[in-house]
Amino acid sequence: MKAIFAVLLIGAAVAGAQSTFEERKMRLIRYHAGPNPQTNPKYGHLAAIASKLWLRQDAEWCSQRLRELLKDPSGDMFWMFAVTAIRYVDRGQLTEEARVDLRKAWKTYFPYRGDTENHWLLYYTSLYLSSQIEPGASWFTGKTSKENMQEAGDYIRSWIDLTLDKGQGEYDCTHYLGVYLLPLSYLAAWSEDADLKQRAKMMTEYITADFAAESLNGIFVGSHARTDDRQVLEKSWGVSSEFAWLFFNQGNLDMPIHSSYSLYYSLASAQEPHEALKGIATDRSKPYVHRERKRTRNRWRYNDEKNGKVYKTTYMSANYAVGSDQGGVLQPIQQHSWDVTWAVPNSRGVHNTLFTTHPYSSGYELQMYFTPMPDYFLDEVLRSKKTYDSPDKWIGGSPFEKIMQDLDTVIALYDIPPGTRFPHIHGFFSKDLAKLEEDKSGWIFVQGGDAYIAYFPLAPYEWKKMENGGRELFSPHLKNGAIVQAANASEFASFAEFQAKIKSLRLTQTVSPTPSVDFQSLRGHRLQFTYGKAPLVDSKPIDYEHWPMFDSPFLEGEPGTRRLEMRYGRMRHVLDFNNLTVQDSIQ
Amino acid sequence: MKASFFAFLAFAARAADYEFWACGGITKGWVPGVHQKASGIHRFTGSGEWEHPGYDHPYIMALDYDPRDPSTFYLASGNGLIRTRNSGRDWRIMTSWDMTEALAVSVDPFQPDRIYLALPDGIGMSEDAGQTWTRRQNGLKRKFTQVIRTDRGVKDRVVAGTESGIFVSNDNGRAWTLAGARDMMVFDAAQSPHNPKRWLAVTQSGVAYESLDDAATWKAIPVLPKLHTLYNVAFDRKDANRIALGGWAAGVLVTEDGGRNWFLRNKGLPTAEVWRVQYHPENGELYAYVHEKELFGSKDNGRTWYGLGLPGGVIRDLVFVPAVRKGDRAPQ
Repeated sequence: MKAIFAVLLIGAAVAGAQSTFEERKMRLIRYHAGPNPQTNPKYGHLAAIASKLWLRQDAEWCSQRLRELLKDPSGDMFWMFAVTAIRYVDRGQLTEEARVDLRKAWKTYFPYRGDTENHWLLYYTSLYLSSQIEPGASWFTGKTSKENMQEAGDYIRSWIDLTLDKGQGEYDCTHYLGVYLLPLSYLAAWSEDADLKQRAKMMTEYITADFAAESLNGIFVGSHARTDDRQVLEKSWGVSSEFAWLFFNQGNLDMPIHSSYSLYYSLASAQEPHEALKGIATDRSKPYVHRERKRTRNRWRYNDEKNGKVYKTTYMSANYAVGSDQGGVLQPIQQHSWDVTWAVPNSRGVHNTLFTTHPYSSGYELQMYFTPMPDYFLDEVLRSKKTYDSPDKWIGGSPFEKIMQDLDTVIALYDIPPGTRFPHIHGFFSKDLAKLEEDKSGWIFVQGGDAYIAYFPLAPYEWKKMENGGRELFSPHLKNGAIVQAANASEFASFAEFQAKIKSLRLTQTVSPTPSVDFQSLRGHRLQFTYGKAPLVDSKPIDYEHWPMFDSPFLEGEPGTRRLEMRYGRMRHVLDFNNLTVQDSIQ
Repeated sequence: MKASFFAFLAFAARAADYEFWACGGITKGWVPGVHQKASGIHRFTGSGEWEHPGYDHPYIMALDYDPRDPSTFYLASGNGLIRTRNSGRDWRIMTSWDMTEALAVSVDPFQPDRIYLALPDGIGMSEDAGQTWTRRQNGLKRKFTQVIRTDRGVKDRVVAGTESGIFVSNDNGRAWTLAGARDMMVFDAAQSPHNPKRWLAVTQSGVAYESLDDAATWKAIPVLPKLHTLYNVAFDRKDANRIALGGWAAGVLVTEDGGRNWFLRNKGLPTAEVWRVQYHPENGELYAYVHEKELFGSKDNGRTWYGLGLPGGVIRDLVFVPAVRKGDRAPQ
């Protein structure tokens, strides 16, 4: 394993800042192929087999190892996508025995279809393509290849339409970005249906654009439908950052590559982002506000609307980003609603973020989004999501959190009913903050990188030292909140000047009977927000009714149009799903 | 062990006309995403073992069968509705992508090609043994449907347990009206084999409901201790006075006087976390599956229990299916 990392590090130096997409793609594939030649038939995962077949290396070992692994399939749709890739990159290299075993596995192993969109997209994409390449085979579904393709194609098209009309369900995931790009890459490369192939190519760009506009030095910023305990703090530790490296040559890959999603993307279409997207992902010379409409995952219970609306706002600048949704439980378990993320030159090991949450855990949330019976399900969740029921966790939405954002100001309010499990809110104050000063005015001033951040807690708090070196702002008051104002350090002559300016801003706030804030922001806007009421900016309610699919200087898409325009400089790149066209122009 | 063995022999000798099936997974130590082996459907064999035909599947929620050919099963599963025509060996997914995570299934005894499927977003219905499906959920307040039962006494009458109560349809699912347990999450509903007008239903809040007018109106049963989630209800086909309820924290609750008095019967069970109870249709033995422990049987209506295997699981349905003898099978 050490040897692999050494190769990787050398590769990093070789690839360097000027590497091309093709060079980075090859580096990924060679990394996953592992030592060459492979000598141990007991070593190597499906990713290694796929990589070697793609490279046309060690075909005999690939057949042997595949047959070994096919004796005990596991992983459901995560097995399906791996063996689908192997079948397509085989190109005559596998032995007939290995192919027979693979066909047999598709009949004897019954993958669970899963309970969420990435599961379904992986399942159906794999079933579609495997049925396409094996038209006469027998399947675990009991259906013919043609029937499988019909069902799978219908699902894939329906998912695309739903995403275009209402936004992605598992939106902007630091990790799961990969399991959307991967199946789209497969379809774009291997579908023989021209319509589906074109849709997949365009959706690859759509999802990539969605990421690019909220990427800060290769880190996926803003609110996330799903992240995890590590990535919410160490923000570059995500599959999304692997894709930022592959796509935009941002960040670095001097890490163990902890997923194979970017590999499988590379083995299939390996679609290189359009030049406009590269600009969108990397040019932070001018600050901008980016808004997006998304939707909740399927809500089976407690709601009249199956997919609720999610309103995202992200303020992007060279030195920091501020992002949020509207609060509430929009996704189960792994939601991340708001934060400030500051830019750092090398983000490995760095906790470059600040946010507050109410750690919420309940059967209500689990039953809303999942179907199993209630009493055992928490135990089942904890087997794979170990911190879900922890008062110290940093991920997850709360029904008792409401959020508003205007430019680089966020106000988060909490009104937690007595008796709620984990009756406190807590704020994450990183070990990597350069400064932290508590002012007698009530403001807490911090500096992260070249960003200044002012944080006003609405209720008393205490500091707790965290094992990761940071400080936890712990507040056990049920009626609570925080006002957060970020700014570029360069806007002020000194940290003291920033503090003085913030303290001069008009602020009235209360937590009784309901948390409420009236704040004149650093950007000159009057922000009024009362828990449970529509937030006001300069006395006008934020217009959620007409929230765009995408709206920023870089991306524009209106609900109902199924059209996304990408802009960078004079470049215009337009996806029109109504007629499946992609138009490029220079303005 | 000896006691269990002789108890089994007694069970096997009496079980000839029915096959005993369990739906569920062996979950102890299992982590989601990993192959959940020996999960799916299980048949209690004549040699006292559990046979596991067909595939491994972590979420087989319920089983019903075609009364004309009891080797044809319909399985409500995470992948939709699965049909097997040879007692579980070969499977075919009958639904498409738009019906996922099925929770319960019911075959209409008046028209066995008509199948109802309880779904997290409503109700599906097929009139051609699962070949094609339509939605039948008009009138449901909230769509989450945990259980669905066809009335064996009245044609076209169907009862559904949903997130927002018990709903009844008199026109094979075209229109549904709220009949009881308003705004209660209903986990099971069952019709008495002795009196088709009598139904019982159980809820997440631990309240059980009774209907004596063929599910048209429902009343809470006041004498029951309100403990926690009640998962299911079972009638003893041999004795109209015996009914059992299974639940979490409640364990096993039984009545022996038709419902006037109820008793906890958990002595001898390792915990009171019970997924499912069922009576043997011929001999009246009571069975209870205890969460991640095993299946227990009782010859004295829960006063004493003995182990019947299937260790470490979550069993979501216990079903007695008429045994198919050679020559019984209907033409395919």
